[in-house]
Amino acid sequence: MSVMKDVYRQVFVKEWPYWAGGIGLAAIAVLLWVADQPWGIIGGYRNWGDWFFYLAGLYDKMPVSPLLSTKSLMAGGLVLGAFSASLISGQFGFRMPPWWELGKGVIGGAVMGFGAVLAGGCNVGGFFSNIAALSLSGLLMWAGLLIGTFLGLKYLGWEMEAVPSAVMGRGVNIKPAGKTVKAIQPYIGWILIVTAMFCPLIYGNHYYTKQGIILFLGFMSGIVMHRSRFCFAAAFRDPFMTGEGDKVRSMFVALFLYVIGVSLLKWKGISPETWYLFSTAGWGAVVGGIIFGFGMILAGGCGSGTLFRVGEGQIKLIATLISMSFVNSLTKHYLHFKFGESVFLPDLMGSWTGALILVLAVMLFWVWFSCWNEENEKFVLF
Amino acid sequence: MEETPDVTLDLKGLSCPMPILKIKKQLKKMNSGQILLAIGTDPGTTNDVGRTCEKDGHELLGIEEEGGVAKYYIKTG
Repeated sequence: MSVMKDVYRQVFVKEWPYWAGGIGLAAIAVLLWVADQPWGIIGGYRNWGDWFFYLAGLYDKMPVSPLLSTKSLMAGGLVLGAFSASLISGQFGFRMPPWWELGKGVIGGAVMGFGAVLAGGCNVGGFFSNIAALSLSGLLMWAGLLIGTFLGLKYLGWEMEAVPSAVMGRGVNIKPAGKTVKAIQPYIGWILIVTAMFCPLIYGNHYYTKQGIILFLGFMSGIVMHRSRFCFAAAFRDPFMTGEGDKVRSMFVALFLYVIGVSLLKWKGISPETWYLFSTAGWGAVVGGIIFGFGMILAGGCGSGTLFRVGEGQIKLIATLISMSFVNSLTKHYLHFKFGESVFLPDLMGSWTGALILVLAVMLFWVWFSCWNEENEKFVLF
Repeated sequence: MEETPDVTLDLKGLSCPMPILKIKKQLKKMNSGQILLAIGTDPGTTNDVGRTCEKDGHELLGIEEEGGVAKYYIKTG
C-alpha cells in the first residue's frame, strides 16, 4: 500500500522532470495529428475573442461554438487539465500580482496576440507544430523567438534598475483555502479527470466524437504541462537568464520525437504530405516571432504556458489570456497581412533527407549553443 | 530554519521569471556566507531555485512551504 502511495505522490504531487513533459507533449501532439489536426493554441484564444466581439455587436458572423470549435477545445482542455492537476497536487490558489505586474500581463498578452497574427501562430502552432510539418516558417519563427526573448530580458533588466519599487512583492497574494476546501480539492480534480475520459463518449452521442477526442487530448496536455511546468518561454529564456541549458536539450528531444512522428505519418499516407505550411515564411515569421518572444517574457507565459498558469489560478496570466484573445481576434479581423509564402522544406532542400538534416542541424546548433553558453556564460544577461 | 537571514526579499505575488531574476540579482550584491530569505508564491520558483543557486555557487539551505507561501533560505557562496 505504501508503494502505491509513493507512486501517487511522485506522479500527482511532486513535479515531473522537464524532459518528461517534453516527451509527453510530443506524444500528445502526434496523437492530435492522427486524430484530426496539428496541435495549436492561438486559434482557441481567437475563438473566445471572436465570441466576445460578436456578442458585443462588432462582428456580423457568428463564430463556431467554443464547445465545438476544435481550436477552442484544445486550448480550453489545456486549462481544465492544468486546473485538475493543480487541485490534486494542492497547488491551486488565486495569486494576486502587484498592479505593475498585472499591467505587464495585459501588455504582454496584447503583444503576443499581435505577433501571433504576423507569424501565423503562437509558440505551439507557429513554432512547435510548424517545425514538425517541415515548414520553413517554423524555423524562421524559432529565430525570431530567440531574438524577442533576448530583447524582453534586456527590458526586464532595465526595469529592475529604473523602477525597482514597481517590481516588489506586495504581500497581497494567495487566499489560503480553508481546511475543508483544501481536503475536497483533490476529489474535484479526480472527478474532472474521469469526466474528461468520458468526453469522446459524451460528444459521440451527438455525433461529435472527433471533438470529444480533441477535448480529451487537450485535457491531457494540460495535466502534462502543469506537472512538468513545460514552459516554452523558459527554454528560450534560460540560456540568456541563468545560463542553464537543460530546457533547450529537453526541447530538442521533444522536437526530435515530434518531427520523426509526423514524418512517419506522412510516409504511411495517414497525413497529407504538405499540411500545415504557414504562408509566413519571410518577414512574417521572423518579425512575428520577435514580437511574440518579447511579449511572452513580459507576460511570463507563452500561448500554452499562459493557459496552464490560468488553470492554477494566477490572476496575472488570466489578464494575459483576455488581452491576447482580444488583440488576436481584432488584428485577424481588421488587418490582413501577407509577409511571406509557404515553403515546404523537402522542396527547398531537394529531398526529405535534406529537410530532416536541416531541421536537425538547426536544433543541434541550439543545443550546442546552450552547452557552450553554460560553460562560458557569454550571453547571460544577469 | 534556525538561520537568521541577513536580507529578506519579498516576492509574494510575483510570477515567473521575476522571482528568480530578483533572487539572482540580490545574491550578487551580498557577501559570501550571508543568508538570504526569499518569500514567494509562484510554484515555478520552487522548481527552479535550487539549480539556479547551485550554478552560481550558492547553497539552497532549505524550502519551507505553508499555505501556498514558500520560504527559500539561501547561503551565498
